[in-house]
Amino acid sequence: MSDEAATYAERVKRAAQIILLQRHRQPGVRGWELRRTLGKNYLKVVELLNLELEKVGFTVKALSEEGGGGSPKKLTEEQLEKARFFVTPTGRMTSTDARMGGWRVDDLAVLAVALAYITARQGKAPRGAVEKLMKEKLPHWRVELNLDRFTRLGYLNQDKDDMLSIGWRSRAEVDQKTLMGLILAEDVSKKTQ
Amino acid sequence: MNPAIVEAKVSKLTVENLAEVFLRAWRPIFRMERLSPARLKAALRYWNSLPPRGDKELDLPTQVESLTASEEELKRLRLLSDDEFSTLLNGLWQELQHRVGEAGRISYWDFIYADSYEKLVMRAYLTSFLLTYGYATVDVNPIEEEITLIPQLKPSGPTNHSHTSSLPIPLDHATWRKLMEGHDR
Repeated sequence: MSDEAATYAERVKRAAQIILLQRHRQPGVRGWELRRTLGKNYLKVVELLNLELEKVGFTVKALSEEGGGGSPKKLTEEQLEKARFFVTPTGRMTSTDARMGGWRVDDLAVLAVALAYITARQGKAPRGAVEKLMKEKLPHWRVELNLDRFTRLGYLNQDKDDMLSIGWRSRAEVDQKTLMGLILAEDVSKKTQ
Repeated sequence: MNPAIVEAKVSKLTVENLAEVFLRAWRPIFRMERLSPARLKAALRYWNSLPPRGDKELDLPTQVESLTASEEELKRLRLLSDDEFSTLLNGLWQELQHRVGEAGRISYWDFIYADSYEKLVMRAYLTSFLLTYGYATVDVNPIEEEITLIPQLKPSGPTNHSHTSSLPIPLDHATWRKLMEGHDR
């Protein structure tokens, strides 16, 4: 292995540590933090890390401050500086995976409804309306507990007027087009099998 | 998009359908937790705050005594079992702390669920001691019939019986089968 290749291999390991190991309360790491540790060619290092992670079913994504992103290549240099880099699986999650991660079926359902309803309301919806929507399906206290938790985790934002909007973490983790498409599908039970 | 359409669609879907839909669109952020210096300091503070075990450790029966009388031998066996019991209880407490996640609480039935009836009974038995000894508290919602466990960061010690009430939870093979079906779904 040449010196240059060895240096890159070391930097890829370092990039994996920075992105995967939890450093802050919120997951992921900012572009400027990567640049500071890996040097100005940090995007090349991230690309190499991505190639390695893809072999085992994961991918590196970047989310800009404005909420757009996916592949880091989609962002401008300026956006990349403040963007949040993180790793997600490439394949779908199973209910067992979710359960092992501490998620209940009820939790997933509440978040699905909240995101779909907020999207349908052009990005903002009263919290009371979301709670009402789930009223017949789940106990009120559980819905309340979940909405509080999702707000705390960054999946939802809540303003002082109790209006909910989509949080950075939902933008990072949830393919909202797919979610809406499936909810609006004629027969979800068939589509999800 | 008309929110009324979303409302209509959502009303037709079951909680399971909604969860399934969400799983198809969800790619959660993957991260690994690690011990930070701050967490280590907190652990050290906790360790140092534990009361000393004093002479209890020195008060062990000698081996000669254990060979003299069968009754005493049995007692000693029970003492050994106590130690094992403490280990099991501690393990279960740590599992509870781990499993509650960000919510800080977990359904009693989710927590005690096991892949065999015998294990389920054992977990329920040990969980009752977690509550009695103050390793966790229980929250009961009588309307929804929900029982939730909330772990304590520090065990508060055996509860004062004058301020407590008992919570009988019937547990039989049929209950376990129902739970198993729910988990397999």
